[in-house]
Amino acid sequence: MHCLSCDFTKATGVDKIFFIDPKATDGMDGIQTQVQQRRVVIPGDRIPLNLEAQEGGAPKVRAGPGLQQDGGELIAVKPGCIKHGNGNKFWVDGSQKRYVPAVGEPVLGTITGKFAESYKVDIGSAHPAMLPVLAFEGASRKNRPMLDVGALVYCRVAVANKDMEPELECIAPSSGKSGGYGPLKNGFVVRCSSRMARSLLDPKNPILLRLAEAFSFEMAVGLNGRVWFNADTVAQVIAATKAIQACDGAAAADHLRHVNAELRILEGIDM
Amino acid sequence: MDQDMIVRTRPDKRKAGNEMRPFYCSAALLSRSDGSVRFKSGDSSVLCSVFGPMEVKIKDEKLDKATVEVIFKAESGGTTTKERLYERVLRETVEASILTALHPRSAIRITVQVLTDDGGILSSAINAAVLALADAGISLRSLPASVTCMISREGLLLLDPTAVEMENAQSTHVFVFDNISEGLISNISTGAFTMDEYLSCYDTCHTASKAVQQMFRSSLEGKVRKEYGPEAVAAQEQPVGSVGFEEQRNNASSWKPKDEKKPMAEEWLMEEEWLMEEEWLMEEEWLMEEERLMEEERLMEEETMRNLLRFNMLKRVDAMAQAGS
Repeated sequence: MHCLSCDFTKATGVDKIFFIDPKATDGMDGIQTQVQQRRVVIPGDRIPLNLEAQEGGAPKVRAGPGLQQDGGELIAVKPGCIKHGNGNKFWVDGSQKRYVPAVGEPVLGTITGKFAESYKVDIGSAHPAMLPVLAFEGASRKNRPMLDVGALVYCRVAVANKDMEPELECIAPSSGKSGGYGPLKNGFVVRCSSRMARSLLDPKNPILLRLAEAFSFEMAVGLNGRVWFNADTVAQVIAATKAIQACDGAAAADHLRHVNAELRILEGIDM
Repeated sequence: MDQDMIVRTRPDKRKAGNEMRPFYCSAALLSRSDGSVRFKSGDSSVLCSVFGPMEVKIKDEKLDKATVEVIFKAESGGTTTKERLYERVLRETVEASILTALHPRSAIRITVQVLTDDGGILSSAINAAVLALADAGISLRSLPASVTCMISREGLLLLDPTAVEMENAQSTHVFVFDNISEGLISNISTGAFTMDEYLSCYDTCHTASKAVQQMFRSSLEGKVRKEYGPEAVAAQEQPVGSVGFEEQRNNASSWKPKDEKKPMAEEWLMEEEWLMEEEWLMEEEWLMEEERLMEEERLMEEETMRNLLRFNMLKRVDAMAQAGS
C-alpha cells in the first residue's frame, strides 16, 4: 500500500513500528485506525516517526502519556498500543490501575477532610487532591456547599503539576456552570483500570449499550478508574458494577458475553 | 569431553552448560496491588508486587524524584543480611530504569516474596520486579534483564545454576543487561575467578539475557494484545517486524485469554505449553549452530584431502620426470 511507510528491520524486534503518512490517507480513515491499533510497544522501544509537515519550519512533535524524548527520537516508557493524532501527537494507549492526575480529566473522589477554604479529596493519586469550597457552581462566601467526610464528588482536575498537590473544581470551564459535576448521592462506585474507564467515556461503548437495553441507569465515569452507577433497583446497580468488573482486563471480544451473563442473573432475580 | 561431564553433573537433565532453565511469568495475579508478576525459572519462583506512585513517609521523601522502596522476603525465616543485600542490589538496579523524576515526593514500593528457591533467586527477583513495574504502568527507560551463571570447582561454566550446583561453585556471577543499550547495568560476582573466566561469564550471560528480553517482550505484548482482542488477530494477518519473534508472537495471540475463574492448575499448564514452544525454538537454534559447525569441519576435511591429493600427484609427476630423464 502506498500510504504505509514500513520499516522492517531483521531480528532487532524494535524498529517494527510503522506510521501512516497522514497526507496520503484522505478517505482512508478505516485503514488508519486498523493499522494504528496494531502497533504494540514495550518500554525501551524506539519509535521511528513519520511526521506531518507543518507551517513555519520544522514540524513539532507532541508526545503524550507513555512516551519520552530521547535525543531526536521518541522512546516508549510504558507497554501499550502506540497511537497518533493530528498535529503530530503521539501517545501510548495502555492500562494501569494507579491514577496520575492530568488537567481536564473528570475524576471521582471521596472527601477525606474539611478545612475552612477547601476540602481534601482522595482521587487515588499519590497525593491527596484539594477542592476549594468556592469551586462549585454559584458558591460564594455565604452560600457554600455542605459536604461531609466520606461524600462522593464528581469533579474535574484543574491543576495537575507533578511538584504540586492536584487541585479540583466542580465547574465546567467553558460555561461556568456545574456541567454535571458535583456531589453524587446514592448509587455505588466500582473500581476499574484506566483503560476501561476511558472506554466507558465513549457513549457508543457496547457494554453500556447492552446495559441500557436492559434497564435505565445513571453513571459517572472518573478517569481515575472509578465509575459510579445508580439505577432504580439495587439488583440493577449490582449487575452493572459486576459487568464492568468482569469486562475489565478481559478481551474486547468477550465483553458482551460477560455483560449478558450478569444480565441473565438479574433476570433470575426479577422473576 | 567437557560436555559429557556437564551432562552427568547437571542435576535437572539440562544438556549443556550454557543452557537456561525454562522460564515464564504470569502477570496481574494480585487484585489490590498496582502491578504484580509471578516469575518462574525452573524450580525457582518469586512473586513480586508493585505499588505506586503513592504517598511517601516524610523521612523518605525526596523533593526531586520518587523514592524506590524494596522489600525482599525469603521463603521462610526473617530478614537477614543476605536479604538486605538483595534489596539494595534490586533497588539500585531498577532505580536506573525507572523515570523517578516524573513522580517527585512519592514512593514506588516493590515487594518480592520468594516462593521456592532453587538457585538464581536474585535474577528471578530482578526479572519479576521489572515485569511488575511495567505491569503497574510505571514509566521505565528500559527493561533490565538478569541472568546468573557460575564457575564450578572443576572450572566449568554453568548458566542459570540450580541450588545443588551452586554448592559446588568456585564463583557466581549475576549480570543485568538492558534492552536499549545492551550494556551492563549491574553485576554481582562472588568467589575467586580469573579475568578470562569473568569475560566468558559476561559473554554467556549477555547472550542469555536476550532470551529473557524476548520473553519480556512476548509477555508484555501478549497482555496488551489480549485486552485489545480483535486487533490481535489483525496482527497476524499482516505480520510486522522481525522474523525471530514471529513464532512467539503467533503463540502469544493464539494463547487464549485467561478466565479469572479458571483453576490454577490449568493456567499453569497453558503457560507450560507456551514455554515448551520457546524451549523448542532455542533447541532448534542450537541444532542449526551444530549443523553449521559440522559443515565447516567437512569443508576443512575436503580441503586437506585436496591438498594431499595434489601433493601426491606432484610427487608422482616428479617421480615420472626422474624416471624419464
